[in-house]
Amino acid sequence: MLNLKKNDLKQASVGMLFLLPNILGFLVFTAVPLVISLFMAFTDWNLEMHNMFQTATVKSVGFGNFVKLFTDPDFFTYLGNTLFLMIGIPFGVAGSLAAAMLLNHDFKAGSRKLYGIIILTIVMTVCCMMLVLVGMASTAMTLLVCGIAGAVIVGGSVGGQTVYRTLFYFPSFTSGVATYILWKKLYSPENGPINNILQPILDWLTPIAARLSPKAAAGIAGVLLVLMGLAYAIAMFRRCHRWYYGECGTASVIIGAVLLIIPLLCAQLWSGLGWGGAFGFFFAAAGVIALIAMFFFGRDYKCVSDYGMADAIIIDGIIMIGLFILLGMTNVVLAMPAEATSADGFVAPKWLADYYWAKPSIMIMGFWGAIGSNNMLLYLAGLSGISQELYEAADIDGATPVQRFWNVTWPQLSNVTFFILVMSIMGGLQGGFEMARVMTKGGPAGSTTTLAYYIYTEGFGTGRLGYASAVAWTLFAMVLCVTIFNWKFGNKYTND
Amino acid sequence: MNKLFFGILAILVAASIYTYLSEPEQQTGYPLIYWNSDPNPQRYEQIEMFSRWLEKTHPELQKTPGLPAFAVKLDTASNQSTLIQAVSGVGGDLLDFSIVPVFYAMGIIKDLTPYAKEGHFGLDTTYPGIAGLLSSYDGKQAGYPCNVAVTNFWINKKTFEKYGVKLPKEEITLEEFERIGKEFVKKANAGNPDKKVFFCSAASGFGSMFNLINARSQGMDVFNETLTKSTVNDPRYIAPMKLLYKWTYTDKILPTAADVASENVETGGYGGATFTHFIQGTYAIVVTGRYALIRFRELPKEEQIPLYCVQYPQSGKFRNMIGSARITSMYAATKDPNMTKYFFEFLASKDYNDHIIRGVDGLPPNPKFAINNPEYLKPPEYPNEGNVHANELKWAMELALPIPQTPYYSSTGRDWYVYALDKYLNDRATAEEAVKEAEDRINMAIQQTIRENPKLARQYAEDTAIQKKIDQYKADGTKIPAEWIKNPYYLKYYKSKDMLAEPERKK
Repeated sequence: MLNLKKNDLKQASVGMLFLLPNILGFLVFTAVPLVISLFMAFTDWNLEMHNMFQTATVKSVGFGNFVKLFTDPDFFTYLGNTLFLMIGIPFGVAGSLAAAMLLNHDFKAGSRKLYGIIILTIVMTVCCMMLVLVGMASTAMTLLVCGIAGAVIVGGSVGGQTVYRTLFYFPSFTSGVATYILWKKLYSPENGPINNILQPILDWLTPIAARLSPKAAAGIAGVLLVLMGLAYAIAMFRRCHRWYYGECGTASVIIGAVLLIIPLLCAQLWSGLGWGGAFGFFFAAAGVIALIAMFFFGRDYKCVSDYGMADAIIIDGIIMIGLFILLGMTNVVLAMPAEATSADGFVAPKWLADYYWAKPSIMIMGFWGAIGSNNMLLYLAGLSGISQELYEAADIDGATPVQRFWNVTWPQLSNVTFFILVMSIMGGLQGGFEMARVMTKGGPAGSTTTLAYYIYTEGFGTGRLGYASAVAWTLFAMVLCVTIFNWKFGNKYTND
Repeated sequence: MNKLFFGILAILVAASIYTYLSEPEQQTGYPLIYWNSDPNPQRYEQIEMFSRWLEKTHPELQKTPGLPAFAVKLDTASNQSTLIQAVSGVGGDLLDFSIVPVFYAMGIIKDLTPYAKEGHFGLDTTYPGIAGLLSSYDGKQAGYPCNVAVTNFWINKKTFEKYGVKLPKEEITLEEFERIGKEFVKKANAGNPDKKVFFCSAASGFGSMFNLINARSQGMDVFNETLTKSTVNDPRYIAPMKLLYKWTYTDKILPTAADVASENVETGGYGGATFTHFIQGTYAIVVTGRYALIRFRELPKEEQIPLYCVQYPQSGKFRNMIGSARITSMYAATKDPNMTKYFFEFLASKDYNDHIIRGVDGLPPNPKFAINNPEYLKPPEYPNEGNVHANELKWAMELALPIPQTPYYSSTGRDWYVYALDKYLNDRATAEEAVKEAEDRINMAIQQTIRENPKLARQYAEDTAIQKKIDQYKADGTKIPAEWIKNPYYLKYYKSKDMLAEPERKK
């Protein structure tokens, strides 16, 4: 039994009094609203009928709001939008790792690298000036962006690591709304710097593409589709190979395989080539058969089922996006001759104003934000924790830089990668509100409405607090699943 | 440790007392009422004017010599914040909205009817076409406008002259609009492959207004006569939608959403980039109201725009326009309704209306101060403003109708019709599919309201029964009793077609 002296109790009560404002704040502004919102999720609470001026009482609807939610097509559309935006997560993770590795080098080392960077700076500055001279910088914004890019390179060359680390971390400590407004301007279809640079390139490509016959376009599209198949086969082989040699568990290989197969199955629906669907199905079926055969014959080097999960999700996730890009490219190539010979020729995307481009636009912006985020800091910390002895051993074995990365850096960072991945997925599920509110208002035609924005519009636009709470708690359940996944698989299997 | 704790506690208590004492009421020494409105600089002038007006017209209210009886303080919260504050019991004493009935139904607005007659700010003192925006669904007055607008097509005559295009008539048809529009963009963009000069602006909300006005011109509204059902799945809605698409993407007389997105909306002063384009001549026409003059009058004298305005182009014979207003209402939990009511009296007064006339912040709420007033109709310092004042006033009195609303469907959330139009213009649906989806969605939302709200369910049952009778009367070609009709549009439309049976006068 706890034996506290009078003095201890007194000290404890004083301590509690100090903590009281914080605890009260937490209770009033977090804990109590949380409990109330859980209660609201099971009621018909609607601001139009249930507010301090109305006499109607809030009634329990049991699981009615949740039933409605799962039969509401909008919910699934917005969940789809949320998940679509999350496709960029593997790229964001890879980008932050690349940034961290880049920033782990000291650019101010006084070696030949510095001269290389200075030369690169001069070349880029000259390029920017040429862009301006040829009229590709018609707006002040383009000049500004070019100027900032030049300043970054010059600053980094002179100030070294510290300057770059500060600059790369900029997106994290800049106000979200300010960056969204800046990106909105960058995406401006007519005056934005992105299209100011892109449109002349497309104008240059238009006559070239116009000379392309439909048959030639189909041929190129076919080559791209074959490339997609090959990339899939190599990735699948890599995954199976890792499984066989005990570098990847059974659950991980299945998740990786699913990610790889998805684009091939989508080829059934989206491929513009007549044989694209059958081609995708053949490869997908071959992959499944190979997996079954592999599991049937077993392996010599065993490991636990979830070993290498982060690697599977990140690497195969990135390859999945690459496969989707190749699939999309086949359709782009097929459409090129007709588009090039149309009255307007190739036209730069309308970005946020276009239904089909709005989501990718937000994804690109998210990718930019992810590179210089806390993930980069976590990777930097992770990189500094890798023993130099491992690199020295790899050097003695004659490892190339690529081999050093795949066999030392990447496995040593697996716990950091896993944590980042899980946190990014949780952030992705809850994200998209500020972007939608500031940049698109959820449009065009609901294409950028995420679950977080949907909760807001239902709660404070329509006033259906009960239903909005049900959506919020469903979102919480999804986040909880990811958290449980993290508890179960996180912080394990780091190679010592 | 104890000393530290109590020291911090003392600081917090002192800070709380200071915060309390620094509140405006404590500092001024007289009561304040709060007005939730926009941060328009003219609001501050209006507040100062209110204090002077109160002192002049109601000296009996003054309790302490030298101090006003009370004053108004501006609280510039967004619409959504205003609503959330209001339902939580901490709203301003005066709340500004653009649509009042839905908020009255929520119970957050007080009935002004008992005060209106005595204060001379009844519905009869403002425009007949916007009465539907100011009153509750059961006819009680729930607000009074601060200013009114009937948006119409403003033409920069200089731009028309520059390209040698003739001005259209004030009552322009769709065919005429298209013909002149095509001629204009052809001439204005000659030798310019980018086609960046447009005939007409297309700001947010333009499409839905255009479609509504056109459908109404042919006898069709968003809701039926009793406001119990959506009726947008109709060829009279589909045709203008298709035309809008054609004008935007084929004829390019209207800018696309991407062109509008390219406008630098964060700069350019009041009215944003659309007005800048109009001033510069990249838009020949801008869809706006008299409030646009706040920006245009800022131009140097020699650069003042020669203006001319026409109605929305429409296909049918029933010419109509949309009336809108910034409406001030009395918060249900206002500190003192007897004090707050004077502000509405002020809104209907000559002082306030003259201020709106001079300040061009829309149409004055009380039209009697504008009718036959040369200062309003032809301001001598601005001869370039042509027919814009007279026409907007005339159309507000004769053609304006409010935007459609029903107690059974709250468009404070998602407006499914706007959503459908967005889908169509983004090639996500055909016009036919889009209007069908809009109608289905609105009707589903109506049914949901009925399920959730027993009070409205009873009223809905009565209204649907009346609707059946109306449908029968229409089929039979019999005149419909006016008291059956709740939709202000149909009241006016049927009256113009002599389809209404007016209630018998008591002998």
